[in-house]
Amino acid sequence: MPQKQVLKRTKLFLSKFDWLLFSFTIAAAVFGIIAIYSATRSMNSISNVLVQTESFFIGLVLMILISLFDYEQFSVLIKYIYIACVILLIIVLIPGIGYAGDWGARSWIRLTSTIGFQPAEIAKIGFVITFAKHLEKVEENINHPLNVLLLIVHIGILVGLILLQPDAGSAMVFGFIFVCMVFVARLSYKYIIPAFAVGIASLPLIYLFVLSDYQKTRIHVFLNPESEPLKGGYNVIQSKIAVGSGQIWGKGFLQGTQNQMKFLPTKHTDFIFSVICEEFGLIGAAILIFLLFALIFRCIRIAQNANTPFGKYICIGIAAMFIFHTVENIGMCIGLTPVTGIPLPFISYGGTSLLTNMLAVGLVMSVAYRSGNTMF
Amino acid sequence: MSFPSAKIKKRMLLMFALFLTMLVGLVFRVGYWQIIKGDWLKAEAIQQQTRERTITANRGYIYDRNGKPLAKSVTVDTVACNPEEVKKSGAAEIVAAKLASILEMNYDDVYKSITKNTSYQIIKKRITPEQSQAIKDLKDSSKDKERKEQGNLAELSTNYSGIYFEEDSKRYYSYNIAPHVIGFTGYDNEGRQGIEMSFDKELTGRAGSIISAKSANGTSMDFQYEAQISSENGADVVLTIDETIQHFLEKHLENAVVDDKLKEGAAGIIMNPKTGEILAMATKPDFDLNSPYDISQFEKYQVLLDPQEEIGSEASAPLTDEQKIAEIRNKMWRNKAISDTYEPGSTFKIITAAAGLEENVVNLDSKFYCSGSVKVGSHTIHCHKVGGHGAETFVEGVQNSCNPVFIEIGLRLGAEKFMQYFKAFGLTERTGIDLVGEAKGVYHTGELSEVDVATSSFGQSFNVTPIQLITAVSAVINGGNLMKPQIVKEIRNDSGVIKSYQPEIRNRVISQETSDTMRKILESVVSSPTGTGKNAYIKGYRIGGKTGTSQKGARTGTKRIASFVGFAPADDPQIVCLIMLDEPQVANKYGGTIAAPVVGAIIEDTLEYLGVERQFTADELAQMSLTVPEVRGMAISDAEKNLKQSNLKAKVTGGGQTVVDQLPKPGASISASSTVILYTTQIQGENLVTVPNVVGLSMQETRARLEAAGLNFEVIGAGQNSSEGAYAAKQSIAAGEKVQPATVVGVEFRHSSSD
Repeated sequence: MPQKQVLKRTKLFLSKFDWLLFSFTIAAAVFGIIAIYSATRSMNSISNVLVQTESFFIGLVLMILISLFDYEQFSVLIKYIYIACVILLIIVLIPGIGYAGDWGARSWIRLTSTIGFQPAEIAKIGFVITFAKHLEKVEENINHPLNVLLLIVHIGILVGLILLQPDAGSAMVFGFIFVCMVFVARLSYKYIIPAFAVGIASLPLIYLFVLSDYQKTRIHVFLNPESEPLKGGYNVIQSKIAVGSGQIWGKGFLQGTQNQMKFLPTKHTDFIFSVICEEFGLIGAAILIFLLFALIFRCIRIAQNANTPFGKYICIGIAAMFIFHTVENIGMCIGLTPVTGIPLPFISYGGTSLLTNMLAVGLVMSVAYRSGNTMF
Repeated sequence: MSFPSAKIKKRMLLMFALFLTMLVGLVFRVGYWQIIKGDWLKAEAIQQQTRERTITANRGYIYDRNGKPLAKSVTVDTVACNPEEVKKSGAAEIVAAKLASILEMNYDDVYKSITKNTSYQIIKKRITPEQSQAIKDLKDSSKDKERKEQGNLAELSTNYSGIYFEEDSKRYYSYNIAPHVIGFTGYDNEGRQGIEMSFDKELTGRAGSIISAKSANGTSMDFQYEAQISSENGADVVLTIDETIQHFLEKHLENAVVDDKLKEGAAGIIMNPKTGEILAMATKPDFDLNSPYDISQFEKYQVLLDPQEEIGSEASAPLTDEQKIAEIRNKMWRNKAISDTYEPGSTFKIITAAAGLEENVVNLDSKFYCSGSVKVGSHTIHCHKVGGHGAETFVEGVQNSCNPVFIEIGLRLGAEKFMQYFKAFGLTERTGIDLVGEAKGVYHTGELSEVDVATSSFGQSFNVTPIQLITAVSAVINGGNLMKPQIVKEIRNDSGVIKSYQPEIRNRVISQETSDTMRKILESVVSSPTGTGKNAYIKGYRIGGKTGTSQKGARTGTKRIASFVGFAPADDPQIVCLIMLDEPQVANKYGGTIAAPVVGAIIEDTLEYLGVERQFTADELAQMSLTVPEVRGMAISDAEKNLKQSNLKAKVTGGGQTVVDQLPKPGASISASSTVILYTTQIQGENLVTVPNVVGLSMQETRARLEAAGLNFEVIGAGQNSSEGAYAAKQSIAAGEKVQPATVVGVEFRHSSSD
């Protein structure tokens, strides 16, 4: 009898487990590790590859565990999750605990001298869960002004703290997730259109009064990369040369000269896509974009089939997070969007980032596991 | 399950569509860069990732036919820098100031070079050894301690680590001869003129290069890549030019430029008529091969020859007008021997005569009559001799260079035959000599009228280049073969001869027999006492030739080109020499007067050098100069006897019986029947005598006047000085100078020629 039950549960697991999403994730992460290997070869160290690989395996375990965990159990923890996020984002601001990363913002918390994490990355997942629950609650009456206000407060506190770091990139990710989630939650166009208009109209004001000088420089360089070839524009020019010189078939693995001869900056993190374009060409780039597309598409499919609004909104939030990261990072590598420190999900080097992303996939798989439709 | 609602599904779909659009956009953008801009960006990548250094190949030498190196390559330093390293030193201003003063360059230019946004920049090419040493001193780190002690931190060697040398080669012309033939090289050692240009490819060899990968920080090489293409030294070019003969030609032409005040300079060619090999080719005035842009040498002549055009400030102030300098340079670099076209005038009569003989329209004894002019159609054409030459044979006609005779021959040949020979002698095409800038002649292309044939037959109404004419004349005297003139003998490299140039017959024009006859006739032009070419006569050598005087510009103008083409020995020609003297500014501008003696002198020098033995006639032997014998210590009577045997006269001064001293001293060269003064006492403050002016006098008058002054004389230079009509043209000691009695004055005689 127990044997039979084990068999039955295994069968159930095998049929409900989202193998597609699972494979896309593994494929993307492996692709990432290969690219990081190439991108860090000129540094004569494989420590980055090792860290990424470790994170991948830890992420894999976490992802499977989370996928088996019933996400509905989070409902009772919502308050604590939200408070934990707020506390993390506050303590990162305290000098001595929070440390500056590559871009100068105080966004890191170090656990030991070598191990650290970015609270904003974790908070993204936390936010998606708490906000999904919030939306589920107000779903029927979302367009009531008070509800709208409460939703704004929900995100506002978190974004406000992030902007104090200041980490504009992450703030934009939160903003995008928020917009996608309320949009799918049928927020009335009466709100959306004016908000959009006000947003556009306030851009010049934001540029003039909100952005810091270095942010202004980035915008300027983005519009005019050739104007500052040795400062900010250098990255974009070198990335452009790397991407373009890869041509259709690429220069071959480890053969990218822009990459190996260190012309390309921050190539294992921000500009990993340029490395892929240079070494694997348009073919490699298209395969990667398709892979990420498939992964995100799968998240949206799962959202459509989710059992509960909570699950649905989680999936949408996570899909939105992946979309923003993907589009912004690739866009940055090819000069379509300003340079921000946003990594390419699953590909860019970064333990926290990879863990967070795999955790997020685990959540979506958990939703999938409990949805009405089985895969097989 | 009805969840989620249709509306939510619609919103998801919208979100998905937006996402899809963005991804498609990204793929297109990536594709745009990789496919459409791919090649350009790839080139950008290579450009910034590689560093290319050139290994210059040694340029080949240019030798004369005997192996004398006329053009060599010497290794010199070129100073280059890596601006990235200079930038790192942070002392660009100091480095620029130092280098500017050493290299005699402008500070701003140097500063710009060493701070350029590149990793390789040449600062100055081919610097002098002194400059090179001065920079090496700056880079010498062993002096840093001393510099530090002196507090001279600005000049530490580390500041100059980005400055380095590259080997380069510089051309050096050791003999500095035949500049128009050899040519010179430019900024990148590329041939700019002459052989340097026409054989640039062979001389250059193949430069090699080292292409190496360059990482973003400019120096370190993580991504190892280095390809080396080794250089291949240039081949050597051996010319047919003989440096010694070239020297003779240049020396005599240079004298002619000064003597005859040649406004447009002189050109000359010496050729081996049998093979077409050019033994010498010169244009004067010329330029210094080792500083080919320097116009001072050339300009000196311009001022000398062209005083009228120098009126104004230009004579004193240096030319500043760049265009004018460029114009002078172009003129200075012009190889007149191949680039100038001119009316050959009477020298062309050689061709007409040869054609006439070959076609049997004339023979040696054909009778002609010259009345001084001839009517062709409605035109009257004059002979150069007013009143005419009267009755004459064909041979005399050639000796006299009589125009009506050649008009008659031309008309007998007819337009068709005339043009057939004209063409066969190669006058309608370039000779194909391996030099740059050969001009093409100008000639009648359509149907020739009678007047055209008449004027053409004595060398008017068409243009040829000197090289065309000498090649045609060579065909007349070498047995009838039109040769391709050759300037290069062979090309060789370290492993031996790569290419050897053999004599090349372009055309067979006339028979051996006609050629033999022509040589005899042309010899008589020089050897006959009445020949127009007698000024080219050299005792002991059989010289043939023909004079020419061409009008230049308007027919009524006074501009002339005097020319002479001569060859020797007449029975078996080893050399043929053509010179043209462009716009002489002297009274007698005839080729027979001013060009013939120059050719005579050139031929004399050349044949002597070539070891051709002189064969004197009895007449010549009688006129030969003698060597004064030693008679000191002899009794007066013995001395007198001795001198008499030597065909010399004696004049005794003093009352003694023994010769104590003599003038001229033993060994001096002197002409027959001169007087030697014998002294019976020591010469003590003898009264000096004044040299009289003998220019313009006949030989008898010259002898008489010099003897009257107590002086002796000797005939020097070319020309038939014994025959009637010769006049003294030059004297070796200027009139008015005080000299010891019995001193030998050299006198050069000439005949006044009318062609």
